Amino acid sequence: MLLIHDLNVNDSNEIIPLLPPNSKILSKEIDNIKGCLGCFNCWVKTPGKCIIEDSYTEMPKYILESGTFIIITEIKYGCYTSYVKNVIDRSIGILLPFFQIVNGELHHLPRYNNNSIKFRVIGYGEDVTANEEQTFKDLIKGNALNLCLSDYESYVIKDISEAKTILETL
Amino acid sequence: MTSLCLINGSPRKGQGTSSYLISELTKLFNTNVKTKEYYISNFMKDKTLLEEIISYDKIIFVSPLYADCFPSTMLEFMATFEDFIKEKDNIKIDMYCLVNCGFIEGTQNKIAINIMKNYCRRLNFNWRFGVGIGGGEFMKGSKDMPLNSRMKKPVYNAFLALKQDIENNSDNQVNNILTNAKIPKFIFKFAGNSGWKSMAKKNNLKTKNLYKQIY
Repeated sequence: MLLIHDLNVNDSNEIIPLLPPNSKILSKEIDNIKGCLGCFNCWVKTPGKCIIEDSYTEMPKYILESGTFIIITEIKYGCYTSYVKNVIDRSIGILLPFFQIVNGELHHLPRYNNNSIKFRVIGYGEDVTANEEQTFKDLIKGNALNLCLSDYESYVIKDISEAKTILETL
Repeated sequence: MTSLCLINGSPRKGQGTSSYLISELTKLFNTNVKTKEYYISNFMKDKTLLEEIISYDKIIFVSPLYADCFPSTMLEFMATFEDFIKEKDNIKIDMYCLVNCGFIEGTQNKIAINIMKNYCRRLNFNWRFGVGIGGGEFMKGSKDMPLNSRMKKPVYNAFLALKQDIENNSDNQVNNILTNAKIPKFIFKFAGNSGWKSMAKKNNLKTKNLYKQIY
């Protein structure tokens, strides 16, 4: 499994023991992630690999090897927090630059066969509004389509303890 | 006189499509609208600059679309600005957003605009409406074709809607505008794919190299 999260130390200590051994865990504490530059070099210069050298250079590899790709993020305005979003932006080498038409809309083609990867996103927050919850669900659906991860689920929880139940069922 | 703050969230700053769209939009305003463009990196370097934002009557958050929402740096700025605003009393600023994506369909900016609307509620600002533009790279790459040309007219009209709303201090309810240049999808797809190939060529790569599976 691959887990990307923005939890505090106490919460992550509760969650991480629930994952299978050898799971890869990425959080804010790991390296000082550098921001995606929007340069597209992961498509047109070093195809499949980000040109920024840090612990996130090979994100597509981690996703492909994960079997299950889990995100736990606080919901901010219906979106991910910035750290989690940065990890996603640093992962687009998993796609090809070329376009395909899906449901009448342009999207990128997958670089690999991602069909066996499960994409599970847990959003948390005590005061998430109904609109923010809906936006978050729309966002995960959109990301699943754009990242060619068709086996996806999104969950919205108030308390992080609910994440334990979700993780136990995966 | 109306003052308008344009906050550019593109990691590519002046090289990005957001900057081009800002320059085209600001050209349309009459002399009663005073505009200034800021890069979010300037605010993050010098937080005291945030005080300037609240001196404006209106704000447009301008950003590219990255994976259905905003670049992480924009989200970081938004959270910083929210913390700043929470310390202030009752600031009401009219708020708009202008989001552009590389895909041809302006409708693909819908989720990002909803995020910005949710954000506006958190700021307790006055939400006006969002504009989502498709084919961003095309718009920037065809600067010589005027915005009011037949092909780009839908984008021009969306900008006119922004202009009118801002100049008239309107408080009528306006729906989001999701639009794009008039280009058949199959042509856009072909031209876009050719564009990637020519970028590869500049990097001494062949088309087949772009398909490489390194893992």
